[in-house]
Amino acid sequence: MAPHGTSSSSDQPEPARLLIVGLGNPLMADDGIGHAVVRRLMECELPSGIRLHAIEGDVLALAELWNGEQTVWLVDAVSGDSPAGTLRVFEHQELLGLPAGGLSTHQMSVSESLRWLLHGKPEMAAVRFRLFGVEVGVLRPEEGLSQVVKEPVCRLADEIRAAVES
Amino acid sequence: MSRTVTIPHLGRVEGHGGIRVTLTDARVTEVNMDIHEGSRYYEKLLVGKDFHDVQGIITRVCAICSADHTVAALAGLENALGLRPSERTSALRGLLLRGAAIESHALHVFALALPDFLGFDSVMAMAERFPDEVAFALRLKQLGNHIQAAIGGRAVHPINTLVGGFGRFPSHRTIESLRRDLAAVVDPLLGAVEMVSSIDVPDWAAQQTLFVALRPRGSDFGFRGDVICTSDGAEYPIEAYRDAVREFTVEHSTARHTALESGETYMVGSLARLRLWGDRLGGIAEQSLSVLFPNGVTENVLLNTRAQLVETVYCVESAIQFCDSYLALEEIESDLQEVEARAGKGIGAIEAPRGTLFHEYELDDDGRVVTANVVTPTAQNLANVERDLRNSGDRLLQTAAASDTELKRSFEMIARAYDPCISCSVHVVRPDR
Repeated sequence: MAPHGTSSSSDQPEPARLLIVGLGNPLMADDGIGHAVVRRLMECELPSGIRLHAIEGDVLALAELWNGEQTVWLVDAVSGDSPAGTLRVFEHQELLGLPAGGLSTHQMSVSESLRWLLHGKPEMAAVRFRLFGVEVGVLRPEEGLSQVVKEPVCRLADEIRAAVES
Repeated sequence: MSRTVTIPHLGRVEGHGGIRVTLTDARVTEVNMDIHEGSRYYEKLLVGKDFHDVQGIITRVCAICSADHTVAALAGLENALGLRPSERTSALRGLLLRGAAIESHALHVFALALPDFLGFDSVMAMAERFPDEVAFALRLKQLGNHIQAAIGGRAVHPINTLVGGFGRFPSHRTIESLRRDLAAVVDPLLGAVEMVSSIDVPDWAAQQTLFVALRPRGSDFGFRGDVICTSDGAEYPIEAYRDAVREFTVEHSTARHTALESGETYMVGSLARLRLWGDRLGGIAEQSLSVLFPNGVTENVLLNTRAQLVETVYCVESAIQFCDSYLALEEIESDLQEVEARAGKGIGAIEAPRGTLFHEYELDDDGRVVTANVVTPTAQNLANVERDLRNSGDRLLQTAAASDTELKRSFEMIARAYDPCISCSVHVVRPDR
């Protein structure tokens, strides 16, 4: 998905203050939650200083996407113990403390990736992360979200929009 | 008495997941490794699609190996269409593969394997004692991404790579910048080689292993070739890959397994490439091979990490040489070929970071996909992983009264050494695991 940015109309655009990144793969059913939320936000008139991006699985790609924003919000599918469609929010410390590890680099967790990013890119040390998630209903090769997460995805996009406007 | 050692890691993805090893009276009696391997879905998704659209879809089978799937797909499609890419296009695709290998190997060597060997739970636990090495690993990974972005238009899922060439060639300025970044990592990379050479590699996983890799074109080491070679001397042209690599299904996994025509399991990947073609390395890559494999490339999957590090040095060194050659060429925007649709069949094969990757396409008269077949390195390694788990488990049980915790750690080390492409087509947060 192409990047989307809003900035002031002055000659010298002010640096974005908030980077919102949707994560996931829209070809894997509810794994497309992050992209769906970002797509909905792109249709809105957001305040200046907010950049929107959607990427697939590599959280470390934030190293390239980040452009000095003090705040980075991630939007991702969550596979936990709550019912499908439940909205989840993980604030900075909780997010960095989530379990890490797996058998494959393809499974590097969000928390481990972020902590590695903060270690290897000291200029990002002051960035505060927040992750918005929706519990998945269906994770399988399939285009489009499952019925059970469609409304929560819209609700989450509206909540994020309200949060950036407040 | 029986007991089962279980390593769960997939959870809700297609309802499967994990490694299960059943032990009976100090013997391994059953090994099941099940992963989600998404290529079958993508093969079906491609049917009926125009050939122009194929690489943009198939690249999404993986977020780490997207450039590798792209180059393999383009090779298969161009063979089906009777198209030969220009030398410049071919060379740039080679650089793209090197960028992908640098990125992938940096992640695997530093984020997964070294913590295992050094006794840390994770790369960030390792960072407390080795802060500079962990920070360098991220820099190296970023370098791989920068190369892919410069050539492919973006770091993941390239868009500048087309059937018949590139939408736009990188400018000299871009390549000059890449060259500077590449040159800047040489010294710390050689420092990492020294560091890794000082870490002992356990020998409980050593066992006779059949290796398979493409013979690199020309006389140098490389990631592209037209002949499949095995370490026992068999050779097959890539057009006969279905004869060489027999796919089969097993009850416990949704992923296909493979074996050679003889029924033997085999290993693909860095260790296989170095075993077969390591004598073609030169320069600092050859020196690194000597440092990391003083007794030659032996049959122990745990050495795969060292092999990946040698290949990383090779990629950096050869990418610098590529940049120099490219900068000597006239700067042009594109030489993209006009492509006419036609019916045909084509096979593309490359060496991806995890091993040999095959893409096969059949097109109809309008250039639409009739059939697609993708055979990934991970699928090829699965049967060998299970064999290694079984044999290593037996050895560990017979040499010492290994606890379940120790066995689990050892089994994880074996699986991780292969760096299987597990479920990378999804990205979910798992807060409870």
